[in-house]
Amino acid sequence: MIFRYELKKIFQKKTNLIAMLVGYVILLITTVYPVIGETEYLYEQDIEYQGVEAIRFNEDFAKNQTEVLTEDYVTAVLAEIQESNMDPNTDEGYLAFNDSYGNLFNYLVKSYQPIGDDEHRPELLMDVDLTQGAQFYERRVQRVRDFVNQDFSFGNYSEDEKEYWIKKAESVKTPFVWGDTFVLKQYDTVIALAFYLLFVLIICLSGTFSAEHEKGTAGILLSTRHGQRRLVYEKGLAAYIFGFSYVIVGYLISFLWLGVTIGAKGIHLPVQLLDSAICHSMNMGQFLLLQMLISMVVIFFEVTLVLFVSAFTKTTMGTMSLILAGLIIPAFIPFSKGSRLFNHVLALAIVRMVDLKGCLMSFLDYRIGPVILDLPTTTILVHLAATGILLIFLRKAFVKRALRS
Amino acid sequence: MELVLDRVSKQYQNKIAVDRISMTLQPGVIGLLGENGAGKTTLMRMVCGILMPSGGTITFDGRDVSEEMYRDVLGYLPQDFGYYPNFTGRDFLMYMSALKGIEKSAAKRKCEELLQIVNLEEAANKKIKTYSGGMKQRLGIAQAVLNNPKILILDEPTAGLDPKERVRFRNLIAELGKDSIVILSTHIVSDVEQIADRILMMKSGQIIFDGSRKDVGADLEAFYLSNFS
Repeated sequence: MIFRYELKKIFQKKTNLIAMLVGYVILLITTVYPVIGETEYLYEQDIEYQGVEAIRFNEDFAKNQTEVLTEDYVTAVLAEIQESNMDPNTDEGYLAFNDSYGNLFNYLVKSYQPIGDDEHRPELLMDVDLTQGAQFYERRVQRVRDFVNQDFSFGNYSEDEKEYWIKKAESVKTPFVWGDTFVLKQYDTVIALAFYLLFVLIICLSGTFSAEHEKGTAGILLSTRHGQRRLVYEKGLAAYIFGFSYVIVGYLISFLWLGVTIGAKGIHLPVQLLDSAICHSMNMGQFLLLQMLISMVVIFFEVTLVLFVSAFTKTTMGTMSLILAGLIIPAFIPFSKGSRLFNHVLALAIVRMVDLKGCLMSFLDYRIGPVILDLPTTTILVHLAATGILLIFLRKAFVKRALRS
Repeated sequence: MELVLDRVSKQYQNKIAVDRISMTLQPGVIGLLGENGAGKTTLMRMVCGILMPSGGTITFDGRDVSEEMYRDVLGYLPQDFGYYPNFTGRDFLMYMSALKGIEKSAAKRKCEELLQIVNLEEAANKKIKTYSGGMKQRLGIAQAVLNNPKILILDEPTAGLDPKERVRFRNLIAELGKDSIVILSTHIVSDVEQIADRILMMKSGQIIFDGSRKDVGADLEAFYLSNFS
């Protein structure tokens, strides 16, 4: 029963209610806008599709291209591109290729660029040697091979690590089923946007323990039978219920809107349609589930961290400042050119987990003895472990500190 | 029933707030008098088990006050009584009942009874932020006695009460003092004059007087001022 009153404390504060509402408004705007703002312009026919119409157009276009991206199909497309003699670096050329091949054009450009080369260089397609076919799937493994065999200023991959990544790349099922991934990417965007909802959780939960000191209620609470043990657990329970419910309801509202507006086609498509070099064997549906799992783990950790810091600092503003700084600052810290360890630690920051596609493409791995783990797996394990440690010391942070002051 | 303080001290860096206090307390009303900064609140917090002493022990019937069982029989009204502005009076008492481990149906009955005793029946469903200072203080007294405590610690309990409320409060405390140890910490002499069985006077962290009401004589105020001049 105690946790119901703790939940009441959260919902009765006006600033919390405003923060919750603003969070949902931002989530809805960022869910709706990419859909209604989507456009597809057909240069030769001078037709523009907007919003859901544009999305449906791209879905049908991809469906009519091919069901499976076979070597023969890619070879035929590349041969057509090369025979067209159009310069893809000109507006006319680019638009013409876009009209003819849709999203497949940019996908192929990316697939023939080295990993880490973020510049759009469509001219590379003109230079692909087609005498033995496009070698598209061989090319994707070669991209991974080239990447892990590079010399890095912060330290090279060991032979074990190289073997790990190459084997992982080779284990991906080919050929790829082809389709349009825009719809599923919107669901991924919603899950990533849950990051913004973390700010709401921080605002609403920063006072969980510290406000008791600020209000002068800590003394009364600590003098009760349950005030030094059960209260801590019930405050935690209320915080978790609030945190998870708030985010899940946000997801549901956004997913419902997306489901009704654009549906959920493309769950079966491989994540390799986001980038052919992705070494993880999963489809878009599994990718979304992984993203959800990571966001739930991150919420669990973040709520626990807020509770811990709130118990420790005794001031709500102090808690909020520390947590927000810890959340935002890593976004501005660049990766090191000299320290692999630094990069490994930085990559685990919550703000970096927002872009799961980027994580899947990162090729960062972590060694625990002979075991090599990828970034998403390590993120889940590290955040769960950190949450466990914080929980062990949570009661001490609130009770022992209060009793000593 | 016995509350024993044995060489209890509390030191904050260079300041000794409570200096080796020893005493044994039995049921009755104990008035703890002292000027501001004497160490009364620090001592009260240690007796409540919400502040760790730097030295010495405090036990109730042989058990250390840090144990959970002790808080079962404890009622506490702190000096600056904090509250939740958006809780109603009834909400607050039910919340405190849950924290004190009182079963829900018993808590409901007890809350209604106490709201009547402290004259907050009509304001029970109003938010505490709308209460006057006296109403908040009465609510604080009500939460302190929810669990029929055997030890009741009241730190400056009459702040904000009007004379009529003070009389009601004294009657309530006198009644409670028959079966419980009631420690009434205050710098207002008249609060303890009529109801305290035993008087303690505290100055600079030490007990400078410990005696019965009779030992003090007819004019407690004069006796108090003579000790603090």
